[in-house]
Amino acid sequence: MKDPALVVAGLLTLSAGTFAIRFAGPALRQRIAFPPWAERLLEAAAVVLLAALVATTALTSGHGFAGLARPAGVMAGGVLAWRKAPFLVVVLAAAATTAVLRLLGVR
Amino acid sequence: MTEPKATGRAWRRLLGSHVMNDESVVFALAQEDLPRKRAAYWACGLGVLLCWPAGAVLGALIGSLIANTGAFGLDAMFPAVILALIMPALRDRVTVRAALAGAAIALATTPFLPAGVPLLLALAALLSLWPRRPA
Repeated sequence: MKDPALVVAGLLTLSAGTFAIRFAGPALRQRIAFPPWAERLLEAAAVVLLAALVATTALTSGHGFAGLARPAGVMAGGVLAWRKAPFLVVVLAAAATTAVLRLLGVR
Repeated sequence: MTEPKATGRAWRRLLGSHVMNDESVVFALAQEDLPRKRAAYWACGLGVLLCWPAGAVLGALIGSLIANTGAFGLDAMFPAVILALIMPALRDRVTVRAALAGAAIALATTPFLPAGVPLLLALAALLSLWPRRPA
């Protein structure tokens, strides 16, 4: 990995691949008509992926448990979001809750 | 991927694909009609395009001045943002069941698998929707 040309080649290959995958979504989507159940499934797939992202980023750090302060903050934000609090309030409350818990010594 | 119409056509799609990320897609999903979806997608995508590198530069410059960034609870912000934005979709009972199952799968596999793979495995939770599929 010390060869700069190899690093640049890898960089370009990965960026081209990533872009192609993203581009393929909208490009193919306009040519293919999905039946309603498939459309429903795709929408659910996006929510499932994002929910899993919330769970892993809230509860884990690397391969281990992230501690209590962060998930508690996210949960506080979630409760506020459920009660339809403004978006900025949700995000700031999440950070504030985590910060206060850490101040109190909760990890 | 689920918001193709938001990106538009031709050169706009080239740039639209470039600014496709978690935030822009989820902000677009949260809007109700197409003009609002489009506006949300582009505002968020271009915003991230500018703010992410700017934030990284700023972080590199002032990060060393702050001893413990964790003390501000900033790490709770990203999951809270995504959670707040999928909240409208989570009011549907069937979707919430699949979302919880997916989250459980991702959490259970995170200790053993490289980052990213648990999220893909979470999609297996979609199988819970299968019997409810209308013919």
